[in-house]
Formats: sequence, structure tokens, C-alpha cells
Amino acid sequence: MKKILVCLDTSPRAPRVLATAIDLARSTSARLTLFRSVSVPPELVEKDVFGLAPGALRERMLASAKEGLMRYRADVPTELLEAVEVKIGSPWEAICVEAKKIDADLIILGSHGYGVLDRILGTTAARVVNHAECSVMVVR
Amino acid sequence: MPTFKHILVPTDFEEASEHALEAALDLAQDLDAEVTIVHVIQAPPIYYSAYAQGLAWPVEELDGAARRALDDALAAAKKRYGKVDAVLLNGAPRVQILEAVVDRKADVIVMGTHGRRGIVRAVLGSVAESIVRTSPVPVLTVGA
Repeated sequence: MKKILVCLDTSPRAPRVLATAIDLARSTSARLTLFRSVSVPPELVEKDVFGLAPGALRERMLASAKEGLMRYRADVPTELLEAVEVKIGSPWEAICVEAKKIDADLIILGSHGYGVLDRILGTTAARVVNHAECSVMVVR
Repeated sequence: MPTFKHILVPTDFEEASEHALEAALDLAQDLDAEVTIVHVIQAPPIYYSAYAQGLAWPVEELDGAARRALDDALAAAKKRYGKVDAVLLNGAPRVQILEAVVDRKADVIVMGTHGRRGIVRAVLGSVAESIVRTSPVPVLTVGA
């Protein structure tokens, strides 16, 4: 195992996901890419918000997501850290695309919590399991 | 978060399960963890009712074949890694697998996904997906 994509959302489960990832990376000498995706609310997409303020909202969303991840970055031993990435997109899709892009051997993510419905249904994890081309670890 | 100490590997002896078992053995080696291989025999209820009426349904034969396949898998696994055990269970796969997690005090499940796509997956779903949704411990799914 060489590359692990660690998906950290804003839910309270994220620290546990990261702890599991650090633990696995240590014992398998893999490196971690911390990842978060942010979605534009559908009603804003319809109003073509990007056209009204080119790039501004997008940049703002990415910056705030990155800021969130940087707090976790401090917990990762330097020798285990590969990168910190943020993307705009629906979580399961963005996760699968990123995993392919960095050629990840393993995706680690929480079972629930990427958005309101997901907190109850856990659909993101199930979709990633179904669509990812690499191994996936779902953490409770 | 302690390192995983006991890996549970459900198997149906198909290719995806073989891959998952290999991945689990690799991981176990790295973690110095125990591995338990689980196979669940799922006989539809009608078999049992037929059996109960004295009709000759070869339940014991089915169990025997599963037992042999599991013994073979265990023997092959033991050649690669010492701390492996196997258990044969009867019933609904998801329920039995999750009960085995509790009984055996496993702290992670490693299992294969068949890589079904599109409408087939939409209709059938998968045991792996239902485990992912309901497991009390982390689940590592390995693609075929």
C-alpha cells in the first residue's frame, strides 16, 4: 500500500477517520493525501452564480475547505503526509475522481456525514464503495 | 485509535473474495493481527421446509462441500501467514457476518466487492454494501 486518500468532511467523525488513516499509514509505510470536497448548493447553480461573480464564490469555498483541512494537517506526522487537496463537486464523485487522479491504493472515509441526508443514510460511503476502482475503508 | 488486531474476512470463494483474503493477509502481516475467514451457507427457507417434510434435500452434502472449500482456503492462507482461523456459519450472510464480528471480537472487516455495474447492481445490491451500511467496525472493501 503506497497512497491513501483520506476523506475528511466537517462531521465529528473526521478525526477518527484521520486517526485510522495515520495508524494504517504507519504500519504499511504509506503516505496520506488529505481530501475534502465542497458542493455548490443546487439553487445557486441554477442562478448561474459563477457567471455573476466569476470565480469569487468558488475561490472562497475552496479556501475555507482548505483552511478546515489545514487544522488536521497539524496532526499528521510530516513523513506520512503527501498532499492536501480540496475540490468542488458532489462528495462521492469528487472522491472517486481524486483517487483515480493520484492513483490511490486505498480510500478511507467515514460511514456517514457528507451533508444532511447522508448523516442519516450514509449514501456517500456506499457510493464510493460501489464506484471507486481501488480498495475503500469505511470507518464508523 | 488502536491498531487493528483482528481481521474478519467473509468469503464466497469467488475471485473478489480471493483478492480480499490476499489483501487481508498482507495487512495482517503488517499489523501482526489475527485473521478469521468466514463463510456463510445460505440455504433458502424452502430447502429447510422440504427437508423437514422428509424430502431428500442434500443439506449435509452442501455443508460438506462448503466445509471442504473453507478448509482448502484456510490451508492455503496458513502457508502465507500463521495466525489464521476459519469458521463456517449458516443463515443470512449480512446477519451472520455481523454476529461473527461481535462473537470473535474482530475490529475490522476486509471483504471483496464483485464490481457489478449499472442495472444489475441497482437490482441486486451487494452484501458488501449492506455490510458497509450497518457494520459496527470499519470495513475495507477490495475490488475484483
